[in-house]
Amino acid sequence: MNKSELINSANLLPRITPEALTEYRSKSGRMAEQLNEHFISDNEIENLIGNNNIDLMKNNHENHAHFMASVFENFSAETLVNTILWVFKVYRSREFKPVYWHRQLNCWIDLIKENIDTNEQDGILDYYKWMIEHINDFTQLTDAKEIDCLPENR
Amino acid sequence: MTIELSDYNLYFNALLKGDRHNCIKLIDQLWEKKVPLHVIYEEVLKKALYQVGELWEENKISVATEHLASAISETIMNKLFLKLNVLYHSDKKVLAGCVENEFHQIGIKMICDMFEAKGYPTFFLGANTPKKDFMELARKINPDIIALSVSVFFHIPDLIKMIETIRNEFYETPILVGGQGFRHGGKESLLRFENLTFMEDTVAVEEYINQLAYEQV
Repeated sequence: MNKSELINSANLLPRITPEALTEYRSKSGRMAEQLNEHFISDNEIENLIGNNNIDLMKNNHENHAHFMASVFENFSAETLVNTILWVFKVYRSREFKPVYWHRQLNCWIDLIKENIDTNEQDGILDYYKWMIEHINDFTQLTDAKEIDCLPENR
Repeated sequence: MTIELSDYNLYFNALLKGDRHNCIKLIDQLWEKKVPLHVIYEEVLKKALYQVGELWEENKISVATEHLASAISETIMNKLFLKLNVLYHSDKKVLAGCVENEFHQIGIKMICDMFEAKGYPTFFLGANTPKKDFMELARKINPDIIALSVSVFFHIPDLIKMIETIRNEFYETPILVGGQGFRHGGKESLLRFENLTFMEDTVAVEEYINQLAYEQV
């Protein structure tokens, strides 16, 4: 998919209820910590995120939680796609591998299932499944050197 | 008036090297040539900082180099501010700041300086201003214009809460909003607010200030 197709596809994602947002916001900090623990305990973490990038990875997990909460609160498909492209561009230039996002996003799914009230999970999980489904698209788009991560009408 | 590419390149190279004195000298030369403040801000300082940001994104420079460039830019702005020779000929007060947890203040500082340069008294609160304290000061000075900035997208919900709080007490005060936080989108979240103007860049702010002066005549 190209960027426009990704934006169209993201526009089909469900809007998150205020209750689910509150749940996510209140639990996401702890979930990010659990995610860090999971990755740090991996002896082969360098294969996922390159060398000396643990702090950067932790920072990414914390920012991810803030970012997703903002998207849930003020949905914008364009912002979602542009920001993911930016994240892929920045972190891949620092040796983060696409397989890291496969692992990271699947871990988020497990943590959401464990931590978020069952009634509020579904919409949130749709976002994570959508991101996993499009990792290859984001990878291919950021393979191009001059990928534009900016809004189209700027 | 625009900046010669050669002048910009000299500045940018000095900035990347962390050569504060040369950066100051180059900007002083532009000032002496009567290059307007907003042009120096938009076409030199801001352009260079964005370019520095792009180099960081590509992992070509470190966070330290990026911070050095920001620090030099702020030094230059402080020096330029002293040269402004401000004569307050408007009684419209401008209150400006960043939302809580937002630590990037250069953009909003530029906006304040531009208002000052045109004779508007400004109250610049800088980075990370707690909402409660912002409102306390707003009540005290009763601003005619409020300017807010966000550099990180995930601070937009905080910005919106801030605007809602402001609107509870300052029903019609014009609010100006801008910043890199909207770089990847998100402006649509501001549409529901009346009397709020999104500022794309310092050129838009310059036009806004000029329009204000025109309306006052």
